[in-house]
Order: sequence, then C-alpha cells, then structure tokens
Amino acid sequence: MEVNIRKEEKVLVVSVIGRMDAISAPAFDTQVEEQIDRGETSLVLDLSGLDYISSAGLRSMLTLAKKLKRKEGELVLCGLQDVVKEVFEVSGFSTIFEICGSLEEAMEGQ
Amino acid sequence: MSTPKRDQLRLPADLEYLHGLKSFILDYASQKGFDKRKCHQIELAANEILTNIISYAYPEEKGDIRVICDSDEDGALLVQIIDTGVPFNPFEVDEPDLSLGLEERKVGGLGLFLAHKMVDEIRYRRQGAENILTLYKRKTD
Repeated sequence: MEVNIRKEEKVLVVSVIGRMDAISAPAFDTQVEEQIDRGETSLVLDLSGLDYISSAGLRSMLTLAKKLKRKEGELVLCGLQDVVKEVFEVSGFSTIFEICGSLEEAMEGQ
Repeated sequence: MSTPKRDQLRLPADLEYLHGLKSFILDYASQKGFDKRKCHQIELAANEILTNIISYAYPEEKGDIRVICDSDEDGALLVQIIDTGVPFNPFEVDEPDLSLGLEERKVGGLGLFLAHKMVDEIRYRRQGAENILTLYKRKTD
C-alpha cells in the first residue's frame, strides 16, 4: 500500500493506493495522524487506487472520521472502486461517510 | 490407498504468512473457475477469519493454521480453516449495529460480520482441540 499526501488550497488530499488490510493499515494511521497532529482538519481521501479493503482498513477510516469530527473537521471519500464500494455498503459505511464519485467532485464541495 | 483430492496447507499463525494462506485459497478458487468478484469476496472472508485467528487464537504459545480447500459436486467451494487455539465460536459474536451514526458507531467488530456477508455460509465446530471453520461459497448467485 502506498499513501500519497498533498495539499490543495486548504484541503489535504490523501491518495491511498493498493491494498489496505491488517498489515498495511497501521502505516496509513501513522501518516494521517501526523497530519492531524499538525493541525490539518479538512481531508479528502482519494481511493481510486485502492483495490482492496478489509475490516482493518475500515477500522482505520472510522477512527479517522471520529477524530476529525471531534475537531470539527471534515472528511470526504472519493473514487471508490466497485469492490471497495461493496465493502462500504455491506458494513453500513456508505451512510456514515460523505462519499463523492470523483476527486473533482469532492474538491468542489470544499 | 488413494490420495485425497483436497489441497492442504499448514503455516504458522502469523501476519507474515497471511498473504501465503490467502494466495493458496485464491489460487484454488480461480482454478475452480470462480470469477474475479467472487474471488474477491472469498479473499475478504478468508482474510477476516485468518486475521482473527492470528490475533486471538494463540495468546500464549504460537500455533499453526491449516487450510483445506475442497469443492463439492456442484462446484461450490469449501474452505476449512483450522486452528488449535482457544475455542472460538464466531456465531457468539454480536453483530455491529449498522444503523448507528458516526459518533455512536463502535470501532472494530466488523471482521466476522464482513466474512459472513461475503460467503453463502459459514460453519463452525469445535472438534477435540481444533476450531474448524468452513467457508462455503457457491459459484453462481
């Protein structure tokens, strides 16, 4: 799994590429937490490169969303592939997360 | 004596071997003609069960995970995942409440729930010192 982070205006765009599971999720947690500790509160997760997510990955995302909510921040997810979308739907995450089709769409709402 | 047609693999219950255990199951499933989407569902279910065993089955001493892949006469896949760790019945775990909002939603507890959703059936039995969990997946919906 690869995590790329870049700042666009006031929004931090985090692209997750590859597979997010019990092995790779801790690296995602560390990198994103670092950013939040630095004061970033507006995040867009670009998941167009994510081809697999397990419950460990869902756990990371839920933890992140809760953290940002406490800081009155914002988290938007975009570009979910079908297999990831299926996991989000089954686990009820589609209704608790703000999800956009594309990165452009996610950025427009910021 | 005839050799059994089933495919078996035994590896230590360690995250290091998660990939190997999953590949073994996936190779078998694709060999049997399961399509990409179904293979992904099988992978996810197996992943959750295996990760669970790796995290909780052997709290003190180390142990192994044994995987046996088989298929029935209808072409359905049967994956047995066996450990000799602490007795663990996946049906005794509470399901997550999917109606809760972000703040109320508990972190964790999704793994087994996802596994149940990704295959047609999960069976569990404790036999002697073994937890035997079987994933059952049909080839067609």
